[in-house]
Amino acid sequence: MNKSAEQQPIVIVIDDDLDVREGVTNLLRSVGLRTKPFASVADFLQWKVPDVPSCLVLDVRLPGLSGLDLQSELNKANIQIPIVFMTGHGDIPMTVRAMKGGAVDFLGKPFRDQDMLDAVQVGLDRDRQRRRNASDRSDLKSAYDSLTPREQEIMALVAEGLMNKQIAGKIDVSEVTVKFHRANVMRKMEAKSVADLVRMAAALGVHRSVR
Amino acid sequence: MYKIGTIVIRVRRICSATAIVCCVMQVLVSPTALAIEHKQVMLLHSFGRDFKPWSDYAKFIRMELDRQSPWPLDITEHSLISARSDDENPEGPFVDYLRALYAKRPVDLIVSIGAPAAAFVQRNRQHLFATTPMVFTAVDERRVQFSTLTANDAVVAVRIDYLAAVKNILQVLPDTKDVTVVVGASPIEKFWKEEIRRDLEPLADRIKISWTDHLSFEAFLKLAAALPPRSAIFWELMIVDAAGVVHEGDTPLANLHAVANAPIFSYDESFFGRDIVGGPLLLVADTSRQTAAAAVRILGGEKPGEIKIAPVQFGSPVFDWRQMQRWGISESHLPPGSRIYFRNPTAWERYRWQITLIAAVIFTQAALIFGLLYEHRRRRLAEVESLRRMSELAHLNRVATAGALSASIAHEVRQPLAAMVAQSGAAMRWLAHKTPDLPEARAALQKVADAGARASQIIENLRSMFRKEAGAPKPLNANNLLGNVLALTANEMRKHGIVLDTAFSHTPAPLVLGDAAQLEQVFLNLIVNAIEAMRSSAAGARTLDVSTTVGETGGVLITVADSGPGIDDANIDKIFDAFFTTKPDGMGMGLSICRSIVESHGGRLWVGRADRGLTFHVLLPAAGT
Repeated sequence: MNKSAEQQPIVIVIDDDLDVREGVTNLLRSVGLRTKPFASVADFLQWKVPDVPSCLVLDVRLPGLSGLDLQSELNKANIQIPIVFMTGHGDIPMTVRAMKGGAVDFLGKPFRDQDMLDAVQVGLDRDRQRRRNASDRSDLKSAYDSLTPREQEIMALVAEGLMNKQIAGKIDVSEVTVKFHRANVMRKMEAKSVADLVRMAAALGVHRSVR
Repeated sequence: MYKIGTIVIRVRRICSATAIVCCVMQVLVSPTALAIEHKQVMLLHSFGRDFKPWSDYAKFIRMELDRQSPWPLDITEHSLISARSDDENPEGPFVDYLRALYAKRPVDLIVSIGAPAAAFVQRNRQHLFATTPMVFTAVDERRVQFSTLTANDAVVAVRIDYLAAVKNILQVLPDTKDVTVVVGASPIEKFWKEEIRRDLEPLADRIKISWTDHLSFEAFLKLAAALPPRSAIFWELMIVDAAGVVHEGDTPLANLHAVANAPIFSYDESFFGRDIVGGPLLLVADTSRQTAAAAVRILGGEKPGEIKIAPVQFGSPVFDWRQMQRWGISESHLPPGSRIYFRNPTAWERYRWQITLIAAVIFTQAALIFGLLYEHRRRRLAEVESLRRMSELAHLNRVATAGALSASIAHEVRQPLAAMVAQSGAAMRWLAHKTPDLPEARAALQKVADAGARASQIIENLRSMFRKEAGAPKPLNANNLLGNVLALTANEMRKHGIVLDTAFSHTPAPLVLGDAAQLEQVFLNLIVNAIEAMRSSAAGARTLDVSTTVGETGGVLITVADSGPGIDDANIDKIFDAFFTTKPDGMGMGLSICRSIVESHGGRLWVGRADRGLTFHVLLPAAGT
């Protein structure tokens, strides 16, 4: 619990109706979630989103920029915060648009309290997963960057499935030299097996640049 | 008659012209010219003055003589009665009588009419007027004894072609099988019977010929009434019948025509004009004109023996249109060159302009009436259509208003509801903590209460907004309001065969205070409900009773009673609840709104049961109370 507040997930609630805003934040607080209420999209955009797992609970009809507009803007900016929509007068086209835009759920007012909590939980899980994937990819990248150009070349050829003898033939070195570089690659990339290395190469999008 | 009339008129005109010329001449010429000698002419009839056809000849000859003669004429007429019998003895005294009569002043010319007269004169020429010139006329050439003619005699004979006359019958009525020839029993008639028999021999194998000379005319008339089909009658002569009765004038032919069941034909124009069908006939005018011409020439000094006149033959065929109609003779059967007389002018020929005018007027009027009716109908249809549209529109408006209202209410109320659900969920969770967080729970519950109050306020605001739409209350006649609504729904009622029965109080007038549009909305709702309820009930038993009454306490009671299926007891108390409906597509807002409106007018709306269906009662305070 005392893990730094910075790491605690946060739920941002945007609704112009004070009662609803307070109701939702209070409900989320009652299950121990950190919340940040806003009355409008403009107010929310003023705020710096902390780098923690987060979820957006968003009313569709808002003064100024609507909830759906905000969703489109975030998608354009490649900001991937999961969104739970609320509406007092939802219709099908609106629901479809929201779900296509990647919304977690679309709840009609008045919604059941548990439905709201479940939807928010799904949103936070999805964000945690996204964040973990993102950090994995950045670790892999730094490991790859630590390889020498020759090692990077050999990693690409291994990922292609070539034998040491073939690689030696391709880049015109001895088989022993290939073995040496290959061991370095395995160690630096912390790969447990050749298959692991191949998966990493795929994740990084590694291709042999010289043929 | 028609033709004769024309000729008479023409003759008169010529006579008067001649008279004027004569007068002028008399004035111009010397006084001695006044002593003009007048000529004496004697007409000698065969049977009597009134026997046809000769009577017509005599009349025409006199007329022609008057017309053609340059001298004044003294015309005397005598009849040879003796011709009616075989007995020639009476001739002697008659000869003596005539001789004595004309002893002093001999006649200048004798005109004998008919065969017996000709024969008589020829027989007694030596004793009677031996030197007096004479014209035999109206006599068939077969009856003239040319051998005994003297130099003082001229003949204007006729030639009767019996074969042609009977062939004419066969031409116009080709089916004819029997021809009865009417001929009497006097000597001349017997002569002609034989002549005719000989003439008709070529037709012996085509038709059967009967004769009447052995019958009394009375007996023949009975026979003529029942002739076999395809018979025809040929009228030759009926002077003396077998019973010795003498028949004079037009009567015998007219009597025959009255009873005969077959068409009558003849050979002489004098019979034409009423009773006979027609055909080629001897024309009276032809013979008369020739006779008068010969007479004038003789009186002028010409020798009679040198005057030769060819026998007068049948003229071109003439037919009586009325007889053609009676016997069904088509014009196409008539011989070429035929003339048709006595044609009844058709109404069209007679009143062409009048008919055209009247027809035009009638047509114009009919067109006008048709046009007006069409327009009227179109207008009525358009009115009905527009009423229908209005009715639909009113209904749609009602639906739309209710729809918009409910959507608006829904959206406004959902916000506090959402807040309440969320806050109450929060409160429960605060309390469910291992150490229940009572302040948080209390705060959340306070918020629930606040949101509830807010929801209530939203609804109240909407109601007051709705109430604000009503205008200032005015005194209104409930009859008129109902009348407007009934006019709007009349078409719908007609369509569903609903009989409307109104019982409106007129004195005192049911005056209420309120908003016309709102009250009309209430009545429209009740009436439309009633109509919709009755749509499912049996046709023929659909009645809508609408009444207004002014109560003693001053209230105005309006009732709308239908004969629909009614509603079951379980539901009767719910019908004024919002969203309660028995209609598949209903919203259940109508009666609830109605009750709100009525109550906002200080009135009451309730439902009661009738024998059939439901009766809605609207009690409104009367205006001025």
